[in-house]
Amino acid sequence: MPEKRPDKTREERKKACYHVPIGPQHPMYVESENIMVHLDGETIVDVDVNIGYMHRGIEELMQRRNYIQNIFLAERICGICSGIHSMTYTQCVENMAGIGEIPERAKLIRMIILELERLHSHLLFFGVAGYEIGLDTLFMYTWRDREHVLDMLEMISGNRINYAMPTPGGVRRNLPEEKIPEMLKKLDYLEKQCRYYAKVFQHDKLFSERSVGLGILKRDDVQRFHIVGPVARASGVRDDVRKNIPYLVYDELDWSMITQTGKDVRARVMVKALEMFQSISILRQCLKRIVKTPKELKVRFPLVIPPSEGIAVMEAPRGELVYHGRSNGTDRPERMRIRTPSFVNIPYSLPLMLRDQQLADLPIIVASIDPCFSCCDRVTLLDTRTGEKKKVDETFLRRLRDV
Amino acid sequence: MTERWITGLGKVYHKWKNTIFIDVPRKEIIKALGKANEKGAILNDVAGYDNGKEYEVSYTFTTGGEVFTLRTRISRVKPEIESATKLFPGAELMERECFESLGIDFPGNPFLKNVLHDKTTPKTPLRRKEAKDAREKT
Repeated sequence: MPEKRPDKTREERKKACYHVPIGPQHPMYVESENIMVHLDGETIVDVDVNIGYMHRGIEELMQRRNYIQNIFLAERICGICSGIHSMTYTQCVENMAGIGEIPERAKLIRMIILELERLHSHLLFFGVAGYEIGLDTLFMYTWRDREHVLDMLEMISGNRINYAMPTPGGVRRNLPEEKIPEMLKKLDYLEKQCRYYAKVFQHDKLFSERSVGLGILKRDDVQRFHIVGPVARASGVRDDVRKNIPYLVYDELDWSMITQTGKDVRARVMVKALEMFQSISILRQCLKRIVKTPKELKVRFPLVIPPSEGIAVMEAPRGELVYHGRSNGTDRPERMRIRTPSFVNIPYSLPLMLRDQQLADLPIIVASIDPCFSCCDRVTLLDTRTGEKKKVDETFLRRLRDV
Repeated sequence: MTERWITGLGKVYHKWKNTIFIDVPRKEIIKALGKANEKGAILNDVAGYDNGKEYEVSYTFTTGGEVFTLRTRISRVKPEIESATKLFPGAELMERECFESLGIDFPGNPFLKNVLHDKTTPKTPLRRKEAKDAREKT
């Protein structure tokens, strides 16, 4: 990791520092992460990022389940990006099975889910960013508006978080066309709100003072460590899978990739704020187009896939998501490798952003990369009377289920 | 658009849409990675796999609207392969993940230790034997 690259002066300074552990449990985080901060007074000399507190071994679990069961497992990797995980997995399985094209309606439904998910993920991020800075009202506004996006997802899938929409070869449910006018109305409202948020991020004095020039991530470092998604785009790198390696029908729609040159916290927030408008535009185009497409939702998919290999790369709200799978002639994958965007963004970019910054700015700098820890740890129970610790394993959970 | 230099890196064993899978002999992998680096390909992933006879390490890249994977096989007796961190510093974490899940050694990786697993996690859980034992237990 970059924090440990030979830097004698910094290493010597670190020895004379105060070492402050932040996390794994900390009010600043929604999930578990440990950052060991080396402080000289109030200035951060260096940080050591420790991940893995939420590891669940999902890659191994996928080898035990069949291709259909794994859709729902992939969906549970991340609560916010559940749609992109299940769709990247599904596309990877389709590539392994050699399914050339899925129906156009299925492609559009997948895109609608993905873009709605991007909207709600970005709105969630604005709330967290506002909260870290002290703009609690912004937090409440954005999370209120996020409800509208979740309502739209519920209209389509019947669920607000895990949508279970894709299936190898297409989608499981049709989009209720009678809901389209209501969805378009909600998109108009969201566009108006996004304009307001973009104005706040651009001109609010408090926000500017707490974000401009903070947590600089140089373009060279982004390219050197292959940092992805909005974090890379905020440093001026044109990295968006939807444009670079188009999938579904992204290449047939009119939208543009957002980049910023600020490299700081505000640039990262602005990338997401401006991306909201692009997502809304994509959604309008998809909703307009879907009514003209044939009603076919999926093509035939074999339950058993002959030995093969497949890769799917998609743009999650936080950046590039990679699934690399192998089949072995059965109904279960031989190996499913998942590379999430946060796996490269968190450990590589945080040390670079936090060096020589003030401790008080740490929460917003960390929040600005929108960290997501999509690998979860096992659970341990502690008996408060005896002090005895007990691990919760699969057998225990099965027993609970059967009670 | 298929770039000719990609297919020249080794033997193409599978191709699907814009994805090319290339088999590269163990001795030539660093040279192939160097070529990818020289051409500005972006390293997306390093993945390990136990095929029962030997271990495989796959390096996935994206370049010019294409995805390509360089796969190389390494012996089970001495599972090690030179680290790609000199060419791609971002490979460090992914190599560490291969190291902890399959026990593949990457000489040259400056911080080769567990990244996601802790002391209580079973060692090399993605090796076939360990995975099979774990399944039988549960």
